[in-house]
Amino acid sequence: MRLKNYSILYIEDEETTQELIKEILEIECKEVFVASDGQEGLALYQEKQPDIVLSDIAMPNMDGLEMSEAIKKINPEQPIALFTAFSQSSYLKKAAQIGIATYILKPLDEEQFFNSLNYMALELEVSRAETESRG
Amino acid sequence: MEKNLKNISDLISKQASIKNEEKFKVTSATLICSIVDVKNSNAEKFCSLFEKNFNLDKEAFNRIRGEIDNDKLTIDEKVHYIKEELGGNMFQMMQYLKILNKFAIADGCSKENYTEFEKIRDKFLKEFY
Repeated sequence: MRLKNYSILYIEDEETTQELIKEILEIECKEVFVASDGQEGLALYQEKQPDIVLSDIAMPNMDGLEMSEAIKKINPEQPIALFTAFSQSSYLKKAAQIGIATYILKPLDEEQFFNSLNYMALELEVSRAETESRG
Repeated sequence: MEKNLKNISDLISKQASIKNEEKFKVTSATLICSIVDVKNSNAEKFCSLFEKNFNLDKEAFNRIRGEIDNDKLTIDEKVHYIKEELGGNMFQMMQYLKILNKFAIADGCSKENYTEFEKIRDKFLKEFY
């Protein structure tokens, strides 16, 4: 699995879900950093500079969209995926405006979850190869 | 490697292996129609996205729209055809899927649209995961 080469920052405020997903990610990814809200996530992003960001939307202090917008200002190419049940279309319109194109559907299907993460890993490889080829 | 190709038209012009440009455009258009309901949802918005991405004028767009109605191929057959035309090249397929992704999320995105996009995406790329 391509994910073995990549680090992930995962942001989720709900403790049980956070623990469960963290355990799954730790099996497949090089490194997993975890935060419990957007503020903490943004600080951890700046400190660790992970390859992929994976976040819930509704969270206290700073929600997943605000955090994603701040991260995209730091690095517009940063791959970010949001967990969503597709129930709030206003969130999704905002997410598309921020430049987020990958979503993880709730409730979680583990195979689809890893397909999406592997797709993001591929995107990252392509984007890095493009940067290299431009010198 | 080619730098980021923003639309289907660029991709076609850079990809020498595409033998039949019209067929490639029609197949791509019908694939997009299986992700989003071009006719019933925000038709105007999709029309403009199609024009930009396929470099079509109104007349060509309407001709392709007519072809969509006569579409007989399954999604697997379309994916197989496009993969072949892109030479099975992972980088080209990623560029192609980025464009499909744009269509999937263009109108605020519904669960159905996005799920369909994921299915198609994985048919193209699963072997590389």
